[in-house]
Amino acid sequence: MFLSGTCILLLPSPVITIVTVDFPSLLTDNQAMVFSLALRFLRNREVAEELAQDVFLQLYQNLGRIESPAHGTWWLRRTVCHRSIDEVRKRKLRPSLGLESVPEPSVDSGMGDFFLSERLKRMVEALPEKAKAVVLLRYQEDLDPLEIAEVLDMPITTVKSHLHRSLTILRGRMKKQEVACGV
Amino acid sequence: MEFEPTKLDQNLKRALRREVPSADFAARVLAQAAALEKKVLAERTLIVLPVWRKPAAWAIAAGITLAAIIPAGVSEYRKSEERKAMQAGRQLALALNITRMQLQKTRERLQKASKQHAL
Repeated sequence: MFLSGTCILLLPSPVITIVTVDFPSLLTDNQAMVFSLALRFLRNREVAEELAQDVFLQLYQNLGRIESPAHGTWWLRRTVCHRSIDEVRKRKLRPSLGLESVPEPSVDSGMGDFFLSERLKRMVEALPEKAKAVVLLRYQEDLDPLEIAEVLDMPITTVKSHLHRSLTILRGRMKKQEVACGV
Repeated sequence: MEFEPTKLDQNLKRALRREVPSADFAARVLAQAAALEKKVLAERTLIVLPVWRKPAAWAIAAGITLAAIIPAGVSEYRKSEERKAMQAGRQLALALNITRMQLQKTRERLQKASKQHAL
């Protein structure tokens, strides 16, 4: 029973399916997702790892309530978003970037792409917390607005509004930078 | 460079790719989970061990105490009631004696008085 939880699902048909929720598998499959979401909010690898660790331990303590691996992923996504927003509010983080949080450019990617991605990343990180969560879940996690609404406990209209406004802001800032750089 | 929604979508997806935590992250989390499990087990053991924390032990102790106290109490109560009854009996006998003596004296006085009156 150690590090795993078993759940019996009673389906409408007389078939009984036993789904085993395995903590190490949940950890391996979701560590990048949990860490990346925490990192985008907290902008510090060490702090993000610490928070991700806490979230996984919280999952471990609630493993009995997790019904399937998909439910585990959904639970982790939801918990890391809420915990990150709380942590940012607690620390009152301002949009600022340390050099250590910017990865080294890879050899095979074009420098233009790298700088564009970095600029976009900073712009997303500078968005208000709720809007940032919506954008991250849309573009990092590839969720549709309905799924985002479920994860963040907000009406779908609010999700769409956050998404629309954030994209407008990002588009405007990108254009402004292009003009400033004379592109 | 033009930023139509589709282009921006693509750029955002590229910019916001997932990043991996340090190589030992999973091992650290598993070690912490194992430590947490141990701690919980230890706490559960500690809760089980002390006898005074068991409600059943308290119930048994209370039962034994009551079984010892109640018969002794009943017996003592009976003895005390018997003592009171004996004392009351003695007091009644004394009172009857006193009354008998008083009556005797009164009778003697009356006989003496009737003899003097006859003379």
